[in-house]
Amino acid sequence: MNNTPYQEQSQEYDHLFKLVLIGNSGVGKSCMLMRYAENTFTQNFYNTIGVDFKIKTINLQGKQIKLQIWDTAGQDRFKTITTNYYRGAHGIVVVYDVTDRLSFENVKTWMSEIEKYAQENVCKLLIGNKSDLSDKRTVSTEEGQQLASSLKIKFIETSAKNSNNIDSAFESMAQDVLIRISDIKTQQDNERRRLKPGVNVNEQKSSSEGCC
Amino acid sequence: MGCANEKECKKQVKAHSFGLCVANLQRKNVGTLQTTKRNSLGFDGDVKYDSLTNQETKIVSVNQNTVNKINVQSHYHEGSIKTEIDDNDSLFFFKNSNNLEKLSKIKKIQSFDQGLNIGQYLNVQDSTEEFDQRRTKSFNPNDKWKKINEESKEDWGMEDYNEFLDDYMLQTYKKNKQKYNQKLKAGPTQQIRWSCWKTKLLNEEEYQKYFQFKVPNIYEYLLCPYMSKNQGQFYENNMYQIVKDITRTFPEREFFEDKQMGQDQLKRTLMATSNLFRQVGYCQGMNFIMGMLLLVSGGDESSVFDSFISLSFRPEYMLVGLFENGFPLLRFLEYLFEDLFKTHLPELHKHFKDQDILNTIWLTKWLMTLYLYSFPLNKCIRIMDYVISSNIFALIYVALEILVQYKEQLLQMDNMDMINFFSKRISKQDENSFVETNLPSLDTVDIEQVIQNAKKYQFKNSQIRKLAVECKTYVSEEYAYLVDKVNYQEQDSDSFVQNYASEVSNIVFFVDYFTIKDKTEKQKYLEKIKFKFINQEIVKEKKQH
Repeated sequence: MNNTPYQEQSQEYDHLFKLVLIGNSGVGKSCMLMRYAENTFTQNFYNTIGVDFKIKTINLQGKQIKLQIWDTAGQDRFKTITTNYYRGAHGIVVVYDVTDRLSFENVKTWMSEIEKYAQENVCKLLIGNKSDLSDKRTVSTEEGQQLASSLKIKFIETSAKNSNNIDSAFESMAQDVLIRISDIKTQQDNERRRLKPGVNVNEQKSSSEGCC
Repeated sequence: MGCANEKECKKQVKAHSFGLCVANLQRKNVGTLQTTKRNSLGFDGDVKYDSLTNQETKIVSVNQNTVNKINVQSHYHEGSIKTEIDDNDSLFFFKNSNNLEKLSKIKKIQSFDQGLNIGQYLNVQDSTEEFDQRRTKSFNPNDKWKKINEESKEDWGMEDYNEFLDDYMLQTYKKNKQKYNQKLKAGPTQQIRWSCWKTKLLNEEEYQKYFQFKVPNIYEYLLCPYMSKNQGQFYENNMYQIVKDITRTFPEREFFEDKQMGQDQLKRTLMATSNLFRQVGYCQGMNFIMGMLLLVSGGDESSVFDSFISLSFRPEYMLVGLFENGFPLLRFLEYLFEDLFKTHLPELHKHFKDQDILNTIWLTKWLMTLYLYSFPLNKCIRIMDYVISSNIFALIYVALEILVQYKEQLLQMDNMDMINFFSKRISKQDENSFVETNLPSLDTVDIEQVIQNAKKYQFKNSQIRKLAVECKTYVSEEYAYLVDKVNYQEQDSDSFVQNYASEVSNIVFFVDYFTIKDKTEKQKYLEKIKFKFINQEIVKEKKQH
């Protein structure tokens, strides 16, 4: 049943995942999101102020998954605003620009922000964007890989411009979240069996699954 | 002063300032050449144009009584800022001649009625018939101008008109400020808007009351190479960010297209701004405001910069608080808004709460960018008319009235719809986008209606003082709560607490200004604010008593 007249056509979904894109200003977060959600690329973009958002529904393992992806402003002083959105996130994507050394060096700072504000079990992914600009590259693929493995997170290089790896990046993220969620579900089910009636299961569920 | 033709321009241009001179040369190419009287700089000297035809333009710059010859290259080479600050003398970068030609092809002013140079960079759709309808309520200098023309046998040009216009505005303002503000709120035509804003923001009598700088033209001064050298890492951080945002400011406008004049002007004005604000430097969001001023003024960059200072520190506006660490003005405006929202739209207010819609999703962007991020430019310019004619609080009255217009629809939306409604959905040129939604668009807001109705929410001064006190308490308590929570969760949070503490103290310091009733006290406190936020190197030293 429709409870609002405005809902999009693809109403039905099995899961709603909240993802957040973070990283230095100008690394291409908005462009990646634009490429992924609407399959367009434009350099004519406004720098993001505060937070913005896009939605995309995908099919994973026979399940309809609605991805709600938050795009954030990259400048340092917006952190007080943007970190509010880490808390409810299932997955956080840290993006750097392979032609911008500083944005790569700041990945560690961004990771520590995640530690501070996000849930413990949040899925993480490191992305090196603008892989198409090979002649301007200042961060090698190996360096990216090394950093990712030292941080124990997945790594992928993308190009929002020529669309390279964009879909697979987001899908791998969604995949991870899906696995984690089903792990938690199983755990919960096990626990629930042990619980006595009358205990509020919802509360337990919402705190582990995350909400906005 | 001005050049009769381009040839003469190439030969030699005498100007008070280098930057302005080149800006004027660029303007020459687009059909006008104008030197504003206000822009006399502390430095003097001749500025020569060696060549306009070479790819690499050689320019003699005037810099604090020394004359330097510098090479100017196209600097928008993707590259890092390093290539630009390598050449310390060439703080002013100008495009090569090819681009000048390109520019001149795009912009050709045909006649007096087509907008002069004022507002020439606004698109056609920005000047709808609505403007003509408002003419009767707003300023109407053109009848007088025509009369002068008829009476005189001389052939008056555009420069004369601009001079006439500025004078007309100043006289009108001096005669009756209240009426002037009403006319400004009613909405001047695109053609005369800049003169109108400028008069309000920069008329000497008031400007000098608030600002006393070392040199008459603070803009050129802030762009001096040594200003940037002194700032070291601070300057480099600012440049890193500015360079990234230049191409992301109204990129859909011809004026700001790649390597166009607008980008240069935007960069310079933002650089100067970052040298002005000693704590905050450049903050994202400034770019849209500065860009809007450049568009409305038709690239009158020096006055645009002065206007930005005026908006930043004059008691009516205090825009500086939008950008300082912790965003103090933003926090205060949001606090005031909350009060209005609860009082006037309780049902909708509850709906927002129920749907868990945070201010940051929508209100933050509206206020921080003076609506420019989320609304069509022509509507934002009208909001700006209203703000300049009254005060910064107009921003929240507008926000509330916009909600009123969409109230019924918003009540029908759930969390996801609302987030979608307030987000920038599709950039206008991407019509093929397959995301379908039947949500209403903010683009369709009836801004005239909004401005007309907004005044009914107006706060009394006493209310603002009371809410300012409350806001201070609120922010401090929130801080105490958060610090408590963080300390409990982890030990390694010192830097977080420090940052947050400095933000909170910034907010409290700033909002304190609005708690003061006494005029002299207020004036004194404003000086404190200026002392804290303005780079003291540019401020005239006060005589010791």
